[in-house]
Amino acid sequence: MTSGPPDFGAHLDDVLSAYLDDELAPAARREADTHLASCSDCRAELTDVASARHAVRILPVRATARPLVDSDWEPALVSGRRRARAAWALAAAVAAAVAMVLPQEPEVAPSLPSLAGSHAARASITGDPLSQLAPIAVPVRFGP
Amino acid sequence: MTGDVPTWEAVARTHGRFLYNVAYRLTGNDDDAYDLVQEALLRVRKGLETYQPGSMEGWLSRIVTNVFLDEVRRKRRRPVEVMPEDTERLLPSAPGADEATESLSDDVQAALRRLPEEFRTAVVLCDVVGLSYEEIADATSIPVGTVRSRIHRGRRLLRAALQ
Repeated sequence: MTSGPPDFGAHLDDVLSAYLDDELAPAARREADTHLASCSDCRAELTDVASARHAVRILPVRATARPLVDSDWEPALVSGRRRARAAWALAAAVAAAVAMVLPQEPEVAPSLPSLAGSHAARASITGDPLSQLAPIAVPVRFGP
Repeated sequence: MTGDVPTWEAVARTHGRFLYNVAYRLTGNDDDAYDLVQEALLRVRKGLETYQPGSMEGWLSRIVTNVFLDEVRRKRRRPVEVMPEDTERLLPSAPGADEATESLSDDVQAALRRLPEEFRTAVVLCDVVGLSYEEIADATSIPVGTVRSRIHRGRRLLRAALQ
């Protein structure tokens, strides 16, 4: 909460965002209400910032299909990752073969036989987050 | 969780989706968001012993924001690279094929991405994560008054970009 005596000057300016976010102390909020009642500029600005605020608040949750951690519980692509984007297809295939896939993510067919033999893979996804913590040793078969 | 410090694997499992969403809104693209989450998870692993049971998402927000701002500072010390996708994103999005809501989200995301990073960080922590001004001040090590100013100026710029 913003505290202290209200001192808004000519216009409310950033007090308007604090007003929208319920970050004003009661006295400051009353002062802002009084100002808004008589200032069309501040009312217009309040409408503008409320619109921007709403637009960001309703953005959908962005998800990724890439596994964030692998079966050794290392963040995926730790080494050289900033240089590794061109090699993403390779990395994705490795990660998919060994991944602890997040629940909302689709299964990806493994495609790197040479790397797959040393890893276990999850064959399915359960809804229980705790059970997902233990890698499940399921042999993976790959085509030629 | 039973009050004990969670394992970092559990953090990654339980909060990976949250981290990724915040990272995407901060960086504006999937590649950078992915890298950001990776770096944040490394810091989570290193720092988990110091985690005080409380708001896990507040703590994670601080970490992912610090990683983001560190990267911003690092890039500012290097010559500017103009990425093709930056140019694309500066252009107005073409109307038509996309559904209206998806198009609107894209426009908002593009406008968010054009905000100066400090404003964008404050807006994302407030309106995407839902932190209080005090929590944002704590996460970004800036005064609450500066948080308020950045949020407001960020919203005004967003509004101007979306009109």
